Amino acid sequence: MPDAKKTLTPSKVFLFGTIIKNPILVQVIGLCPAVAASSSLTVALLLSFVTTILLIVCEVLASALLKPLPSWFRVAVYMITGLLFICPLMYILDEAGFSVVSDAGVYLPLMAANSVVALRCEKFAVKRSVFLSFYDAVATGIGVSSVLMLSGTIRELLGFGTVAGKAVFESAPVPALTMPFGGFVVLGFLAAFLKKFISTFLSGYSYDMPFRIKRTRRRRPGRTSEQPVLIEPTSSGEPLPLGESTVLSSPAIEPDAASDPSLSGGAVRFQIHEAPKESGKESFADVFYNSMSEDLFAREEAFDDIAAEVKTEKHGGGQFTVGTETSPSANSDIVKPARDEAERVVIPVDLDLLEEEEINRALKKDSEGGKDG
Amino acid sequence: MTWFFDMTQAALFTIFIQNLVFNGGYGSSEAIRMSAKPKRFLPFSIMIAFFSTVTAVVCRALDSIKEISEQGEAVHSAIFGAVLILIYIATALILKLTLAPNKKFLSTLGIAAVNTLVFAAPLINRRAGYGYAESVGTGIGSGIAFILALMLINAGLRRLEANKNIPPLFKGTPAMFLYVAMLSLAFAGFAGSPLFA
Amino acid sequence: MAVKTVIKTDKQKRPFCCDMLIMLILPAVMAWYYYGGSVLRTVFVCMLTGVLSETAGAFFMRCPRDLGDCSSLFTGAAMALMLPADFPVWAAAAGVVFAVAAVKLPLGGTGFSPFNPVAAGFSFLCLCWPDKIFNYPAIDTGSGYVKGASLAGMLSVNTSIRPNTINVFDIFTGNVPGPAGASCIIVLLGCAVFLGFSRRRSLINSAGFTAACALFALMFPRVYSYNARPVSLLMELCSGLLMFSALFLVTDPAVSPEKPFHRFLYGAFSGAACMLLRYFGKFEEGVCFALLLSNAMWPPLYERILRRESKRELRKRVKRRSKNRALSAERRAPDNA
Repeated sequence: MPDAKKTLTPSKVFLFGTIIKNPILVQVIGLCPAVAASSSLTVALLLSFVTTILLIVCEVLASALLKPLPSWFRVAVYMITGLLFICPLMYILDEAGFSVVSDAGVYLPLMAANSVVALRCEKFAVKRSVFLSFYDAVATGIGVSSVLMLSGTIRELLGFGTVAGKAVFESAPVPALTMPFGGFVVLGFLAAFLKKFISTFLSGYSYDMPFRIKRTRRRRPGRTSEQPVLIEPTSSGEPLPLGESTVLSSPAIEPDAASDPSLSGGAVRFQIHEAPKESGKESFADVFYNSMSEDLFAREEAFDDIAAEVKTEKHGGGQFTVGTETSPSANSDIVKPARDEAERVVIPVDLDLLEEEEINRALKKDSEGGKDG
Repeated sequence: MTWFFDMTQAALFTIFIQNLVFNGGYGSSEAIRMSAKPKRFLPFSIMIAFFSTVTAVVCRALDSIKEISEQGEAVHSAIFGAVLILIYIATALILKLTLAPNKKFLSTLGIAAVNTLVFAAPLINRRAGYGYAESVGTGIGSGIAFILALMLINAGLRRLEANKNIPPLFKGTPAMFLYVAMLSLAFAGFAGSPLFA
Repeated sequence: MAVKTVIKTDKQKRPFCCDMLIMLILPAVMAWYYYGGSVLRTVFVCMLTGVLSETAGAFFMRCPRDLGDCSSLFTGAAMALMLPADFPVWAAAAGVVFAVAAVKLPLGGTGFSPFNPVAAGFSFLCLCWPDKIFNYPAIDTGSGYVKGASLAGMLSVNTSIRPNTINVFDIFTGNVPGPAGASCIIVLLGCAVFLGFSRRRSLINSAGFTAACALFALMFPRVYSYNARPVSLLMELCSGLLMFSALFLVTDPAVSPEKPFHRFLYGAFSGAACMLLRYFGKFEEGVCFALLLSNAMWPPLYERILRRESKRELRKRVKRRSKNRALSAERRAPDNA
């Protein structure tokens, strides 16, 4: 893939920050003000203003001055910056007698610890120029603000029957929408609407918004501290298609067992390639971002996970999905995950497989015992 | 023994009656994102509980000083925020000097410390007029509430992932939002129990 | 973990919700008897809203519409009968729209939605209009009941129930203020009999649910009388939406496991959650919130149960296999000798 960083233009940054990778609806960051606080348009306006200013200040600061500092320390600096801006603002608004401060409650000071600011600074600003960072801050600010205000308007209209304090309905049509639960519901529908919008008008950027469990650690050359292990089939010559492959990459796969035809029972054999070892470096944003399956501007960079097949096995009367790590055609050829990898996969509960394995082990033990005896 | 009762009561209140993640929305983005990584549930929640408890207790101690307690909301927010930052930096430095953790650990520590859930704990305690025992209870309760939220959302993500019948328009983030909305709705049934009033 | 749903099997040609709809006929008749035609109008409007919102939702969400499974009709009818008779029709319709358009369709449709749409819709209405949803119209019974106060409401106040306030016959015939279609216990028992004949396995869920609730009621009575425990048992089980939920909501096949024992466990888990919500919750009736909670918490629990069982089963099989092997070795030994 061509280097995404080189092809970044202000317009692209703007489009991504506002719509394609909307911070709240797509990246799922900064939910606290969106879900809980923005139950009215005025509060949403205040929070939008604060977020946008904070984003601009922090991103420019991070891009211009904070690059030499370590990642963990920069996070504290962002919060200090937020407090330095928000607390005087609260004081001034409070002294001036604006009720919006009390309406916002504890959520206004909490904006200092908002994940949008820290994440955008760490993900974008510290890696790029001040100019692009400023653009990104404005775009992200607009993205956040539009969602906050839209959500605030909808929730105020349906929850209180007013818009910006002016009565529209005689009574509140759906009062529950003012609660955090209502915030999540509104965000859910807005996210679906955004998805439809992107697929209709920006089909070039159309993509699914997956939110799936990480069963395996993302393997990114040059980013992860571990040596990624890629497994490719050698007998067929073609890479295993995702979803059909039942391979879990794991250092525990014994090369002999995997490549020995007598053991694999005619199944597709695997060849293990170890990626070049590079110095591991994972920043604040990487840790945070890795929980999503997609990263901003780096989606194509990432290797596709060789996902463990989610295999539906029938057990007793009930059916449930389990992830198994068996070779495609031979049940006896079980590729066992290593001890440290075990947590990343769902433990197989297929009785037949387990029984076979257990019985083989017991027989082996018996035979050894017999020899000893 | 009263302090233990107060602490437990405050913790239960924080976990169920006013589940900070579902009923308050605090730290919901961290909860949703972290829920995709079961391996980090426990350490992350312990970190959250640690920072919440220590920050809440220190802030409670500061709030007992007359000059500070008389100040308004803005000054309190600034002081509490500063306390949180100091505790975070101190913890990170101590860990860095003693255990020499890797960058990933420190980054996770940063996420656990600088989030709305931890910062909200002392502010909520002050509004509720909690004492020391209750502040500790809220801190511990925050951690437990967080891990409960992580487990529930994780189970939800797995179910949504396996559910092939979700309309394409709602696959992914929209369905996840609606799932969390239902969890929030379920916990709303606890809110405002007369037992803890 | 995804629990596969068995909505329609070869043996059971009729959709599950169709059976539920048939079961709802009797409660609807009783509601009409006590509260007049307005209840039936609400039921009709809610059913119509269910169908319309499913059609419109399926159109906008681009998902397949499946009106044949009667689930939207059942959602509407059940919701209407769970509400007070004088509950505003438009508000009841809003609950149905929420249940269908925000819970059922976007999360996978009938049988695949992780949450029970009726429970979610009712919980939504509880949060929206708590003052209306638990304010029941009075029934002129002539007995000692406080007019307009339901049994669940009296229980939630803890001290309201005395021996002389209880008329068991009235409770069983539904001649007490309460949800329009959920107060008549005799009719609900009749529905249980029907369920026992048509869906025997589903009745196990109800049994588990009722057993857990009964246990809670016996252990922690909320009434003050000389024979508190039996009175508590009667009042808790017959009050509010407990029996109605046991028959119509807990039996939802979308989350139900298959094995009878697991079904019983699921029901018991839901029942425990229900009683906890009743005791410590905000509202006098927390069964729908409890069902949402159990819908969310049961699958991971179930997965653990299955894993434990599979391990146990595995150990048994291995033991059996090794025993057989040893026996055959013993048999072979004399032959060789």
